[in-house]
Amino acid sequence: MNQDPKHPLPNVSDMDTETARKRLVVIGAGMVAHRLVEALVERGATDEWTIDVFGEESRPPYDRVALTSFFSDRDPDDLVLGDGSLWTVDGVRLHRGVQATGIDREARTVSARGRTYPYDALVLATGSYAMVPPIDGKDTPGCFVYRTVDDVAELRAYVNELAARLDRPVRGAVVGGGLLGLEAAGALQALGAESTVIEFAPWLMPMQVDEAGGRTLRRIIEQLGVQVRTATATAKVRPNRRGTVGSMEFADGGGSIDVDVVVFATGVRPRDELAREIGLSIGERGGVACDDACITDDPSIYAIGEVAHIAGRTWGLVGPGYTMAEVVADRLLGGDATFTSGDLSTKLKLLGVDVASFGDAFAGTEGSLEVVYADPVGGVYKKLVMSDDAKTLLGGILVGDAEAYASLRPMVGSELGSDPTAWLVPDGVTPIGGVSLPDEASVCSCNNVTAGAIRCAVRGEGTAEPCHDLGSVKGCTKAGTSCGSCLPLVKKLLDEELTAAGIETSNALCEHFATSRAQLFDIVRVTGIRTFSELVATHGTGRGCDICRPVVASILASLETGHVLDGEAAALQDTNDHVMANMQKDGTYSVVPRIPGGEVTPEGLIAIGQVAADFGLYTKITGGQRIDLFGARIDQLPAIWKQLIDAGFESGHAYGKSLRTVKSCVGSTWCRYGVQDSVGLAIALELRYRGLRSPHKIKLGVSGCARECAEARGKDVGVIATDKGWNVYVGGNGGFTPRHAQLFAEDLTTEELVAVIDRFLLYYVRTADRLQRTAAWLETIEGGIDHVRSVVIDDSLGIVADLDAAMAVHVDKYEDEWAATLADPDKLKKFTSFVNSPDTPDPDLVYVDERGQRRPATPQERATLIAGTTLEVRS
Amino acid sequence: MIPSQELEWVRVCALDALTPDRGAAALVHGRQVALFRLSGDEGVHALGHRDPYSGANVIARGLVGSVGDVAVVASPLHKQRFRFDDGSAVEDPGVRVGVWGTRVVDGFVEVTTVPVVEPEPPVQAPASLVEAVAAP
Repeated sequence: MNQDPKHPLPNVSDMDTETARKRLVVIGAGMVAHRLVEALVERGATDEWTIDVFGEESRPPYDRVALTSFFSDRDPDDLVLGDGSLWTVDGVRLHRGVQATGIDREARTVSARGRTYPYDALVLATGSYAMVPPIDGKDTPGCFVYRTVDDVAELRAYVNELAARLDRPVRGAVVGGGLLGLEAAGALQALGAESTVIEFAPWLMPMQVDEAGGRTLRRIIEQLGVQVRTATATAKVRPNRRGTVGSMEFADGGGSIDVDVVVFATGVRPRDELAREIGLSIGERGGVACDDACITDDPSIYAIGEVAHIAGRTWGLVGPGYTMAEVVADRLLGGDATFTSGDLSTKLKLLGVDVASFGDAFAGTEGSLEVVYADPVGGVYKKLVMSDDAKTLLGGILVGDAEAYASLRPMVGSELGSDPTAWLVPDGVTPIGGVSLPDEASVCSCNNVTAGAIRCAVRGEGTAEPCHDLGSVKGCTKAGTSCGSCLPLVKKLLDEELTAAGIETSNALCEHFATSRAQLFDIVRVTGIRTFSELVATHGTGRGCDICRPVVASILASLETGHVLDGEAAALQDTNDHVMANMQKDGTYSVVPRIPGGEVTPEGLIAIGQVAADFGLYTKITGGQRIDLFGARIDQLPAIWKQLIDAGFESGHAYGKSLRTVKSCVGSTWCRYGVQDSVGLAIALELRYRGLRSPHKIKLGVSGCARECAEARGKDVGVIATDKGWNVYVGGNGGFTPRHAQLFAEDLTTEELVAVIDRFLLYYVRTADRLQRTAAWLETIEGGIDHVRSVVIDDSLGIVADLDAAMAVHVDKYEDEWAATLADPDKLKKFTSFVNSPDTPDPDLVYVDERGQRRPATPQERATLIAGTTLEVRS
Repeated sequence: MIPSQELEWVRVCALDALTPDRGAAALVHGRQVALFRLSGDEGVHALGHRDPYSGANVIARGLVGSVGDVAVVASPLHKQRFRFDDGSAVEDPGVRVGVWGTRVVDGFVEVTTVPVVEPEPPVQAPASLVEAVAAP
């Protein structure tokens, strides 16, 4: 409907007037409002209601909990909740960037942007605002809060701008050492700024952890380079000569520090101003007072989320907010759900440090016992609060190592069933399945899902059909859809329930192959089938897909060591394997030449630098001790590689599910502590296993002494020198679920070591599932690491000779894929921008300069740059 | 759909230049088109080269496959699958890549000068592009 802005029509709304649907207006479009609308739509409420949601932020509802991840190169759009289909449902409307400015209780209308919208029911979901303490200079340019994507974006832009101007690191300070303050400190660090955290209380995170936990946290964080001042009040922010933040002063003779940026993270206050204006009751410390149905003084007005004062307090976590949303959804549909209490358990990773707090963390229960494990050197503090008979778990605090959180939190109120100290010692986490969870135990505290609800969903009770995979359990119950920390437990419950029901868990690769990757590997090996078309015709269905095609390509490569672009195999490779480079967000690629063991000559470095300069590539050092060159167009790849190969480099397989790198410390050749030549071994291993195709990427590490500078235990295979030889560890990885590698064999000679790694890797290649790292493979393979050790060392399956022969073939047949490609004009034809215009590069690529290099323009920057201003670097 | 008699055609490349089950990008009247020749099929398919979710021109570099009986290509960036018949996303049918008409004449691939089905980006993303217009 178009409307003349000069003649606003009174009481005309965007809402359906032609139908008899009741009208729900929701003020606020945060996570809790999103959940409310989602719950209503799922329950078919749009037959009865139209829903208008007003959000003052210009973005659709997004995951505020994950705000900080926006610093580690995530696009703010990645934080958006759901896939957007919610806002296209008939009767649902999201008014973005529109602030509701008033409520008329008599007329039952909400006014926004000069118009009025009638309601039959109104939900206040306005959330909170960041509270800034009333100190002098708090509004000086350079002072920020930390609450919305826009806050974070402004902070980021400011710090980046300063960093470009100053010839020293930017100095940041965060006022507030709670959860948000530490997140903000982490964000500053991620931006390359120095940061100081200032907390008024005697220790960090006083709301979540006790004093000893706070001390441990402080020690870890200080080791990470963040300065911490506790029991300190900020008195004043002083401007510098430019009028921006220059220094801050502390109260009570606390002195002052020079700073460039100040972030206030001193807590939040409910945004209850609309409710105050219309005379609704307000809680003692703010928040709209509600009963246990989330109904305010006015029976047609509800309040949910951080703005609601309910059960005696306001609730600053998303879990209780979601529960309130569900309660209101139920009420609007005639139900009688109530909100009684929320779970305030939290688990966070702040600056890479795990912190968890759950249940009665402060041992407030009478007669409760505290069981404490503290390792100040390792930076770990764990406390369990037990009932007076030491049997029932009441709560706990975990700092530095919170792996037991997912298992422990649901056990609150239950008997632990074993000596509580067993849960506290390092790596002593009792297997989750070891204790059977009661049905009422809450598994997902974000979405308030109990073990019983998950079991019901698996059995199909109350769901359209039984949920037999993790995805459908998540979809039906919402468990694990917010922070995800409970997913291992959800999976475990799913598997237990399926096993109990006698249902075999499907290990089908995809809809085209009913077999697992390992079975497919055997089929290919035994039948001698060497093309995808023959394999899918004889053992599968359809045309295949983006899952099975690369798996078959990988299996064929493992068995044949043929070129990845030979014959039909070319149509099986993911674009990364197909063009032998890594696709980036704008469709260009990154190039990583192999630098075995991280050892590179000055001439090599110059050659790589020259390639980057010639082609205008962004360069970054990788975690695997080599150099990544970003922004190469598909049509530039052959010329780039020609230059690299001429300088003596070869493919680094950064694009492949294959060996990536063997990281090493400098070892006994230089290091005064080294006991073996770790670089020499790393180079030998990297050259031996380069190009080996596998179910997932493989990383190795070699450390020259027990100080472990190569972080080898974070690798799939880690080798650590001893004075007698080498110890080998397996099954480590970083990433989403970090794992420490476990000791596999000790004091091996170099020859023995190589044989063990050969067999371990090939047994993994043959039997692991698709995209399964060695850690997950060791966890799922029957018999675990002991079984693998017996196969590899004791030859319990009698396959060692076969594995050794296969590795010999791999080593013998290895050739550099890029050199082979450059030598083959047919293969080079694949590297064109347009089949009918090979000399025209993609005209839509737009770059901007940042810190002396170029990077893809953001959509905002793109909108301001005129199309066609591509920064052309070389024709 | 535009009636077929009004369509104009442009010759793009030899049929042999297309590897079966592998895409190739082409420039057609200033727009980027992804051409696919599927194994076991006579004809050629032409979809928009731009991935509507990311805005990057990458569809020709996706893997082809099938969902049930429907032939699809998966975006190489985030694996959304698009149908060759109408360009729609399998999991999100409101979103689509463009579809161009194709024919093979004398061993050459020809496509329509304009798409027969226009692309449809997702409702929300990229948010910033929408907001540039929506913000007061």
